[in-house]
Amino acid sequence: MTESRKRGAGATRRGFLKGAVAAAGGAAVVAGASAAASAAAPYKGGTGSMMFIPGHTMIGAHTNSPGAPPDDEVEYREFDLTFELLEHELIPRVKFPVFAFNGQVPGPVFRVQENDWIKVNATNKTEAMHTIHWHGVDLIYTMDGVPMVTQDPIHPDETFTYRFQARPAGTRFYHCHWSTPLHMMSALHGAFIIDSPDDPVRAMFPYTRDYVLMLESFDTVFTRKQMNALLGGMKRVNKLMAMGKLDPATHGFFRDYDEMLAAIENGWRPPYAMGNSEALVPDPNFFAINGKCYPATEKIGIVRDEFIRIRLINGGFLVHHMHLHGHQFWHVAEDGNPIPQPLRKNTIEVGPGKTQDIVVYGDNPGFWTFHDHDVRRVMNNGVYPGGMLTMLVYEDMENPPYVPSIAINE
Amino acid sequence: MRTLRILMLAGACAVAASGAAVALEVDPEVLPEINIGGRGVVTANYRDRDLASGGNDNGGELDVADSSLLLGFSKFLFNDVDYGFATIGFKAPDDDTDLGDDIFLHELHVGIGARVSELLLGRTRLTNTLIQFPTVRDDDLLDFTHVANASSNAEAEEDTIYGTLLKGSYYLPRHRVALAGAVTARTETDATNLANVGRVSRGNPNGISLSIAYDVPETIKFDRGLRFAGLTWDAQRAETFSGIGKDTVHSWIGALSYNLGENPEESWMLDVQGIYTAGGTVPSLAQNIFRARADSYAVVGSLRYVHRPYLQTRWQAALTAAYKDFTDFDNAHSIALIPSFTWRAGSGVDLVAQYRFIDNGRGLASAVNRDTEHVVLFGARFGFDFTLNETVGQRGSILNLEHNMLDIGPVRVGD
Repeated sequence: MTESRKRGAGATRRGFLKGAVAAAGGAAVVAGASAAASAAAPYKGGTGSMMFIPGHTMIGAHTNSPGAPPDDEVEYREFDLTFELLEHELIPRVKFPVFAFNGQVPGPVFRVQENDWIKVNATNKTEAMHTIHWHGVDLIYTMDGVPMVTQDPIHPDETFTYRFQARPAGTRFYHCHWSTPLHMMSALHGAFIIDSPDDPVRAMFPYTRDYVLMLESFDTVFTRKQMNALLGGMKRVNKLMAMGKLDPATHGFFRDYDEMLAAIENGWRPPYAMGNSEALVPDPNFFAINGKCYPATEKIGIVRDEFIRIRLINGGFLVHHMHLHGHQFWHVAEDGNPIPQPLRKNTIEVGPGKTQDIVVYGDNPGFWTFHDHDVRRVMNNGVYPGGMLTMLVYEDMENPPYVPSIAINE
Repeated sequence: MRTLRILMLAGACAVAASGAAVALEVDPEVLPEINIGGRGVVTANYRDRDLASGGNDNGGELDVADSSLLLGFSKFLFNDVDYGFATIGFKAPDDDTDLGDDIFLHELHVGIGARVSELLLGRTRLTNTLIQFPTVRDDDLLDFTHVANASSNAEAEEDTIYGTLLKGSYYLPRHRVALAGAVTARTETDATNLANVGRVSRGNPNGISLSIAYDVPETIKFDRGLRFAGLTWDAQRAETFSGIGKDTVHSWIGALSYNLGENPEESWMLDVQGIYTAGGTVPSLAQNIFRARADSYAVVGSLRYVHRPYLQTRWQAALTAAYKDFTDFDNAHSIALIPSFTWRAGSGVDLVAQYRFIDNGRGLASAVNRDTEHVVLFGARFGFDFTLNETVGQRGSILNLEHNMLDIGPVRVGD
């Protein structure tokens, strides 16, 4: 369980927060901005992209994309993020390969104030390509992290610096936007919490603690297979492309739609065509909260007469219906934005890409299960109970008449 | 009485059906990962042979030989890292084989694997070749590409290619080196006992082999340079046969696979393999066992061009040449030339064409009653590979167990 009170900015991981420094990046590989002359003139596809330049190499490059104020104009809070490959344990005896931010699953929680200027140096220490999309943050489009739409993917051993202003306040998150089905499922996601002194939720419910729950679904077989294929060939294909020995179409890169049509005319076989597709669709078999499956999930603490805020973030692509036993909580925010008149609920739907904030009031001491009510997600590889399940625990009960034990194969 | 029989039958069925969930048994029956692979090979052939005894043998046919079906099964062991596996494979033998059956069980093995090692026990390919050459069928150049079986006099390519093995493999991935050692049990037959050949399911250990190979991973095989270098020592213990005594036949196989080009979309590949066999004294070359035990050397080389724009294979053209000489006999040599062409029509669907020319020296021609041979064939190959309940993850396509024409090269020492 991630308790944000303990994991605020600067207190999470050594080296994560470098401080509010406005240092310039290293040797910059600056891609030129799209030179749109007028709204009526068509833009030339691929402008600014290195992907169409033979001989390019991004090894050791530090890319500062244009569009954000320079370091001497605003005071940036600077963070370092890395893309790393590691083997992550969901529960004992279940490990699978993941890409992970800063070597942890999920990635570190950002805790920033609304309107802070943020600089994130994202260094790719894997052999795959990545980007970071700041989900729900209104930022400069060149920092939006969509490969081949707002930036080139971050190549192996490249550092890309994102600069943007943190707004609007609320529960946001970040995730890799390259090869999204694999990279989100292989744990490249994390919470991005933008606080505000004028938080209407806190004004209405004076909560003392808040928790971030990243809801995750993993197809460990799909991930391992894709990862092996990717690691086996990607580095070589990247090298060959950089050497100009392969057409960008080999990777499915085109300057525009017409160029794609021309490639098809020229014999290029689209990977989605029926005769050319592996048709691999992930089918998750493990479901986790903050990188762990029940019974390895962390519990949520509360005491009597305390308000706590729980920020639910769906880091996967399934719909989860989180049900809290014994309480009627308030639904206070959706997609990070406050709901003017909070609703009383005991089950809340968290769809893909959604964040939902709830406030729980400690008025019913006990041990209370909090879980996805779709029981298929409360399993570990088909064995019930497990998966997306945790517990709300009153920490101030003196002699509870019944204390939970663990059953993992009912 | 009839009712009692029905009840007993129903009870027996119930017991059989409940095998996967025995009461009071905590260990469940774990579903295996299932790999289904296979290929159909159908060609229209025309042959024209000049016989050494005079005369000519020619004619055409539709040939389905080498079509096969493979079933692979695997499960994790209790440590969730290592795995067990089993494979069953059937194939259609050639028409001119001495095997008595329409179907030959060419793969039937079980094994245990770990990240860098594997132990296999059962029937599979023998460790008597290192390179796949671009021919439509695996026996098109069998006399040149494989160490012959010194214990079988049957006219059966299956006895040469397949046998029962206890094989261990070990990989040093950082050094790209594979090591393998095997105790081999080649099929033992003689000319008077062919009726039972097709049903042989046991083998007496009659040989050993050791292999070492430098093997570049598939993913970087399109870099220019050496892709594969392998060396195998193969020893066979052969029993008394038709006047010749017990003998040990030693063979050394060396092979290189080299990428000549720097353009991954237009690949030029050179594959070369040599086999030197030090056998014993044989009275003639007239029988299969005699030729298998005779001193000989064979060299095969193949030059392939693969056209693969966007790294998507379109077609391959290849020219393969081979030479073999039985050194203890005069003019007992053979020359082969095979140009072949493969057009990739779809994923696993290839149209193929091939011409094979073989010319035997006078000393060999009289022994095998074949002077020269021309075979032209056109046809299609359909290969597929599908995995159900993927849990363990494939060690590689199950089709790697079969002869292939495209994207070929080394027979993996560890496979």
